[in-house]
Amino acid sequence: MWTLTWKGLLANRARFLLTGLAVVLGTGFVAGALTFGDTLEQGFEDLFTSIVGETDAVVRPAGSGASAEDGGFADGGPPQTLDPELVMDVRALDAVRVAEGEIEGMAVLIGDDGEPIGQFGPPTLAYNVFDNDELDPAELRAGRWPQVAGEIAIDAGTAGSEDWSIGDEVGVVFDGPVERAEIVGTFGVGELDNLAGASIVLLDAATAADRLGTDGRYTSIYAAAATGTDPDDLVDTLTTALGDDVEVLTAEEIADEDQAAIAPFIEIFSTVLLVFAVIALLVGGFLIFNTFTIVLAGRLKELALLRAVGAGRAQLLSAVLGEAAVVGVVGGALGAAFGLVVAFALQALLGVIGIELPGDSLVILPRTIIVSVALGAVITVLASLVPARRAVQVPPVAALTEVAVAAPAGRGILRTVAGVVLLVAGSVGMGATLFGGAGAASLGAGAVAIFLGVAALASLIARPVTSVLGWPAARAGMSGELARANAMRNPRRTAATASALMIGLALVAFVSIFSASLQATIDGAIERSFVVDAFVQAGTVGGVPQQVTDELDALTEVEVAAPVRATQLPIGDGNPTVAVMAPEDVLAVFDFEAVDGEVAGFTEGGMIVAESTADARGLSAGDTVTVGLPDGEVDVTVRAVIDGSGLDTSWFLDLDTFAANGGEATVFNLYVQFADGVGAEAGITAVETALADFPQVGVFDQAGLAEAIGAQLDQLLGVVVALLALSVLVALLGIVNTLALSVVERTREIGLLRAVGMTRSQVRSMVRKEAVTVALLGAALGLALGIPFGAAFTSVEAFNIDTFALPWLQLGIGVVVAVLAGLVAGVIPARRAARMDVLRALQSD
Amino acid sequence: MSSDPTPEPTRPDPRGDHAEPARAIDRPAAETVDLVRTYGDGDAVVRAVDGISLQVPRGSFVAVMGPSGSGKSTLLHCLAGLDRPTSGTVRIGGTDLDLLKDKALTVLRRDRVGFVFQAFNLVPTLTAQENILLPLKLGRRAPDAEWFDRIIDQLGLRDRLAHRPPELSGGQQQRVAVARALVTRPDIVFGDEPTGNLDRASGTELLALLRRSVDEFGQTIVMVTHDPAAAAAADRVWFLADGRVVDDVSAPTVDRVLERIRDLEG
Ligand SMILES: Nc1ncnc2c1ncn2[C@@H]1O[C@H](COP(=O)(O)OP(=O)(O)OP(=O)(O)O)[C@@H](O)[C@H]1O
Ligand SMILES: [Mg+2]
Repeated sequence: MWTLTWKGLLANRARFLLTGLAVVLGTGFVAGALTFGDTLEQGFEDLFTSIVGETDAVVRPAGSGASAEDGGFADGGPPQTLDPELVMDVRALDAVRVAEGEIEGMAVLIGDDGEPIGQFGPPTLAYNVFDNDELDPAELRAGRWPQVAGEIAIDAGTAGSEDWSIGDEVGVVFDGPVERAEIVGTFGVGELDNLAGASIVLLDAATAADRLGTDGRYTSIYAAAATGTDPDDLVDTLTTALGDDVEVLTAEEIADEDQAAIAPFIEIFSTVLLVFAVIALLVGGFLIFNTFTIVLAGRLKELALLRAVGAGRAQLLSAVLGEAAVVGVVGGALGAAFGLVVAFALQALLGVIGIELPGDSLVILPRTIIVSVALGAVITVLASLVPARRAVQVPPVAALTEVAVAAPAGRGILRTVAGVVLLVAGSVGMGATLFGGAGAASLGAGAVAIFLGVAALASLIARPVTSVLGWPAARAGMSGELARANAMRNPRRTAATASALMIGLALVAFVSIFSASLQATIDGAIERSFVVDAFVQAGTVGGVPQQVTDELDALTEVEVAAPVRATQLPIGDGNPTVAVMAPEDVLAVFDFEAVDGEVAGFTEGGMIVAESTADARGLSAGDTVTVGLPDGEVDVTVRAVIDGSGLDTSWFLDLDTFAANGGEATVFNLYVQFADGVGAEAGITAVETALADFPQVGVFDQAGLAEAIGAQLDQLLGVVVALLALSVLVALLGIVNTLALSVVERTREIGLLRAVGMTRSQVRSMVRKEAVTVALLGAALGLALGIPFGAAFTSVEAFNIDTFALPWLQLGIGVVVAVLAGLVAGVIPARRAARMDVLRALQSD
Repeated sequence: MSSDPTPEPTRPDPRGDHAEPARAIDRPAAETVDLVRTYGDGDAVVRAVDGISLQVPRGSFVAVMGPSGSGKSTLLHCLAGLDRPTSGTVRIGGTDLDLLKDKALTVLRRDRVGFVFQAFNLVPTLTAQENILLPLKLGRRAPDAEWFDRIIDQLGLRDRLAHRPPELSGGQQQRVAVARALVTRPDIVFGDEPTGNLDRASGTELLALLRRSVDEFGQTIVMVTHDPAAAAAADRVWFLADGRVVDDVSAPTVDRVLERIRDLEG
């Protein structure tokens, strides 16, 4: 039967080429995502090893390692530090050859456009230059190290992307207003000019001690062992010598810790890429399914003949599935190779937007190749299973008759049942995650099941729906009428082709609905809770400096500038976000109506709780709750329960209680209330003028804030849609393939149409309109699925979305893009159809 | 050679006022001059049509006969504008096909030529009515309701108009094809073995219909056939052999046709 397999493949080379392409694209993106992740992991490992360099041991305050795990976005307590004298003690040890104290802090560079670099994205770090180069992870690339205040060295990557060179004066922010500093040097770490987008500023030791918020204390000490001393012995010696207040780690432990800290990010990143790759692969599955269906339909006679001369069904089935397996394996292998290109392109792409990631040479693990080939084979064989089974059902007598064999009856029922079962199972699976707390796997599997179910059911409704969708085309003339009829003639094929596009569109519709609903919710919340005149928001993880509050307090236009500290605190068995504010600020800024208790009671300390949370926890005014604060658990009285809808927090804690129990948190927001008689515009202008030197904070009024949040959401939406474009691309290939095959199938009919007077351009337009009709069906199915998806997700409690918004414009754009995709996909098959020689087409069989 | 059976000028012209000069009554519906169509080149060259000059008088019904491979289909394709001759001229209603680009040739086929093939005449996705009106729709022309009614009544298709081809018998399908060929009132209708796939009864019926469209509508028809009975329904029969017209019989009967075939083979 292998002979048959090969013959089948060779005879349908061109057709299988397109199928193969779908496999290559699908598996290629999977392999690319894997390779990219592996390369990243290896790259970071190399990087962390090289950062440690000559260092054998690191001394740091006991317990400070834990806070490093949240990536430096600590909740704002003062950095734990080491006495500068400790370096002397370390150096004095015989086991130590050389030791250096490091001060890690934060400095935000201000771009030439006046905007802070980094913002809430990659970290903006600052360090002191080590006296001893040997232990310093930074390597000078150009210029020299800074020596006095007003001089800085910055990482070569940031210098490059900002187009700065040695001698330039740039803006930099430590904890106060923007200052000018001269770039005297640029540096890199190991081979990298930049660490994953982070901007790094180096200062001379004295300036660093002064400006990085540690009062001259060190955040850690690096030590290298004296010649002849074993690094492990050094660690032991240091541990014994320095006591319990510090912890001593080997260089390896530090590198491992860094690696462990970065691992979740790499994993999230690769997982996101993988998810999109798998979506593309799924779409590719539809394409494969379609190709096999059509190719086999064209070969029914041949198969019937083989049956007539004695081939068994099982033999035919294995021959046909053999074809699929070969296509899948070859496609998967090529996909693995294509994955390298994808990974390389991803790296280049991130490089272009200024994120240089470690890892020069791509890391190709055998696992990647195995996964790619296996996925290719499995998905192709699975996708061809149904058409193959259907094809081998052909009765031998079909070889002898003229008419094409109709699909055996009864399949419609099977299909309907399978579709409904998949749809229900999928909905249950998705629901289990969304509303029942099941894992992400159940969500993904549920979504896949729903897609397959809808695809199965789509053939039932494809005919009437296509008839409606094709109506405008049909109105326009005969070519449109024929296009519509062609799209309707084989509902299964049309449905499968459209389903591929449906997936991409459903997901696009879903994410845009979700983001629009989120935006509407936020807009509503801002509107409801925006009782203040203006809002100052930190643009960096440094938060809002005290000077900003002072500046505003000094303004006559400003009545109140109330700092808000948002922090997560253990309350009961939860860890909710709590807004810590001075009670008089809360009363001055908000206009709360107490549902229970007295809001004014808050001036005596305690908490205010939103009604929904109070109900959930069975709290009422006067109750006490236990709050975990740094110095221990504290019982706090609930003063009032308020209708907290529209607030982004359910808990208010008074600042005194918080601070008295060791609580410290960065201020990220200020609520500003203008003095009586100050107009909105005058007030904003006054605030903006006063804060001109603080580019690290933004000043917003209500509309501005909504807009700023909207811009962030749009950015995220853009990235997701761009990744989904991949699946639309594969779906487009599917339309090309199906249509090209259909055109071949209908050669004789096209010849007839040409003979009775259809012009070439009418033929072209007929095929193109069919493509658009199929694309429209895909878009319609996509919307029909994406909108409920959006509705389901927005009703999940955890997302706190209270408004369901349909972004008509974005959905419309999605449909337009689908139609354009259809037009593009139709070009090649249309040309092929139009170029046919009339007579040869008429005489073909 | 028999005498030229020019149609009697007294017969009423059902085309009414279609009186452009190119369609003047004395012009042949179609004609060829030194028509040659070869396939392949060098030693392997096949002269499928080897220098045929002929005229198809307006309103006549011509049958083309000849052994397999004698060039009947090739001649018909060249006449109908489906194929380009290697050399020589083809005119339909006075229009030299050689001067037409693909688009104009297509429009000519659509508006001025009808075609009935041996099989696979209909677009399977369209109903009988839509198939009949296809050339008009393609040319965005409104059908002449009266003419349409006359044709379908004549062909007995009225109760089959809403059916799609798979729901029609072979004979019905061929009748729909004839209706489509007639609906544009073309200069000429070509048929390549239109009865070839039909049983005798359906074939006879179809021939009668073709005959009637000549007699009642003044239609011009050229039909390739292997069936002497079919040929006998025509006004005259051209016999082809090796790409040439070797005989021309007027007012044929089955016996005369059989006799000629025997002569030619003998
Ligand atoms: N496309 C082609 N390529 C090469 N040779 C061809 C082609 N079409 C026809 N011929 C040759 O031209 C000659 C005439 O063919 P044609 O189809 O016109 O014959 P015919 O009289 O219609 O035969 P039949 O009665 O079998 O239909 C034959 O020898 C045939 O082999
Ligand atoms: Mg022939």
